[in-house]
Amino acid sequence: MALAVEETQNESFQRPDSPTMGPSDQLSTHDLDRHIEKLMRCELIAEQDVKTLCAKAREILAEEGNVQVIDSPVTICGDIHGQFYDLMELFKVGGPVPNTNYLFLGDFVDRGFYSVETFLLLLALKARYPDRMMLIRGNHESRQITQVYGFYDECLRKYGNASVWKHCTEVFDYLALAAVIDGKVFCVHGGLSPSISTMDQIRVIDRKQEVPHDGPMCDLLWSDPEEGNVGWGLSPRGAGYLFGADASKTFCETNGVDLICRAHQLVMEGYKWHFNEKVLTVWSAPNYCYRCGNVAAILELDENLNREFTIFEAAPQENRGAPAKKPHADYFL
Amino acid sequence: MDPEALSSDSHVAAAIATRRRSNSVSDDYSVQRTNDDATQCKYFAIQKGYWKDDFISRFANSSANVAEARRFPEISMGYWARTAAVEKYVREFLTEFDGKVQVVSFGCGFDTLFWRLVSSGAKLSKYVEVDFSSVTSKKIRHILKPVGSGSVDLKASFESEAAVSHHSDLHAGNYHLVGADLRQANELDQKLATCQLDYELPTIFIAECVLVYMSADASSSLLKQIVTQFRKPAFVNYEQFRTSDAFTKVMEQNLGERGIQLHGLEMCESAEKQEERFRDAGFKSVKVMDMNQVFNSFLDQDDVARIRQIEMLDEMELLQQLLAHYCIVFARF
Repeated sequence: MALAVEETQNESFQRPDSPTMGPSDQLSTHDLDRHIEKLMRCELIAEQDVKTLCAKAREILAEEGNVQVIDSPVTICGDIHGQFYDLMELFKVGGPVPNTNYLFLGDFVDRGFYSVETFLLLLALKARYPDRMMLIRGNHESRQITQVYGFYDECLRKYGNASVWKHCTEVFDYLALAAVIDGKVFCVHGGLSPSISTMDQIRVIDRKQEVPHDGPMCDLLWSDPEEGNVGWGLSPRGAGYLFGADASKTFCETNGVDLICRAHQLVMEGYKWHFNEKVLTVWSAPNYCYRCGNVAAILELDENLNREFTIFEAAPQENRGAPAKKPHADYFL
Repeated sequence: MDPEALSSDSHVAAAIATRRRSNSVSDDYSVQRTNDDATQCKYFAIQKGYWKDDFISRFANSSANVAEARRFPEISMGYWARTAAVEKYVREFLTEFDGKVQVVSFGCGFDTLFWRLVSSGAKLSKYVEVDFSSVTSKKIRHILKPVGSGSVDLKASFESEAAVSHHSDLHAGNYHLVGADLRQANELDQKLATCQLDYELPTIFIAECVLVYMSADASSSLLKQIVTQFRKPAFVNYEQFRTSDAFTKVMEQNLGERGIQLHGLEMCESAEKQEERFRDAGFKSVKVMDMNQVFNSFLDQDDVARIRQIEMLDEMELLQQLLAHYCIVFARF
């Protein structure tokens, strides 16, 4: 496919009206707060600001390991998928940033109507509060997948060209692949991989690339737990594996963790336990695709790793703003 | 109405909107527009290679840009399953009676089955399509419009010159397209009479997402009328299914916002309900399958394997949930 990439070569551009400003890729706290305020209203920021924000975010993410080390307390969130107004509900029930520490397990974009606003808001919050906002990569944080499931089209629609999509996908490559909380809770978007038995094997992956079609990095983002599965099964998704109780138990024992927390699969009740509470699915996109009728959940871990789930529903209609042309969920008509 | 309210434009607009919503004519307009949506969904899926249809491009809006036209893979897969299943039932019926069969398509929209059958060499006695006049008149325009280079001539499939009457009806050899409201028994009778159907011949009726827009009483009368008139009728009915859960509530709300009311939804609740309505009308055998069964066993599994390869489906649950909420009913004498 042909991408209309219009790189504006003004790295050293100085704003004449702002003598205290450095080069434009030096984001001030004030700028970030301004972006956050705007994005919280579901409004777009300028293309140049997206570029600067993405550069800043890459810089921060590049310093993080493949397996992010996180301290409790922290609130774990599953897939968001561009459902901006439902993310606002999540912050309402989970508490505002930076009062609450968040770990988002990926799949920020695609399928929903506001992937751009959603991802940029999370990114701006990450840039503003790097230690309180943790983002890891989902299978939708990928160039290939976003061209099928909406993020690419949305960028074209909202900015008239693909450069915002390009900036964002470059950030995707820097997102961590997993996280571990207090050394006890292993967090990943999809699940386990037959090529990975220790967290150190994840730490040595060269992650700064598009999600491959197979191999350990792909599996972490694509795999699913499957009840009754022994060993490794073929995934019906065409990527990743199905893993069972045995693989989960082995991974936990080898790495000294108590729980594997993941997202990736729609669960109608918002969260779901697998394998006698060894593996947990957390899903944070209520009424997924504006069609599924499910509730969403977040998991709050306190400083002793005590678990508390909070269930929430889709934002009521009156809180959803009034888009000029209301998009709609598809059915067979 | 309070005359004061009329002084403000927004009040007038709101009042008009309320009246439009409660007005059956505007309801019908919304239902007619479901044809446009279905046509664009099929057109996109066909372009993606889900199935082959050389004729749909004559009816679809090909100027829609990709960012607007794209549909999610589960939508394309679902449209494929529906199209393939209906075609399979019709072809089997044609084969069973060696082509001495009439096909009557209710709420045909811009369906292309007639052309697909004829171009593949299938034999049939008569093909009759019925829809609202507003839809048939558009279909006639598309059929008769000048043929550009590289475009297929739909008239080439007709046995004789097309004769158009009232802008809404077209008769050409064994092909007939007539405008009628299926809820108006007299009008429907008169229009079908112009097609000179033979009540003694085996006749297969098709209704895809059509009966559900009619009240249960109206669809029951229609089915009874068919069995009374035709000695060997069969019926392929595709529509909503399992309608007593959250998915359907969300669907009713989403479609309601588009002005689409599902007046016959009570008949879609279960296989028992569907079976009962067709048996009550006088059909001797009735088979009901949800679209998961259709996808996973009724349709050729080599085709299904090919369909699964076209686009990587990110979430199986979405496809399964959608397919579980639609069914195909095959009833016959």
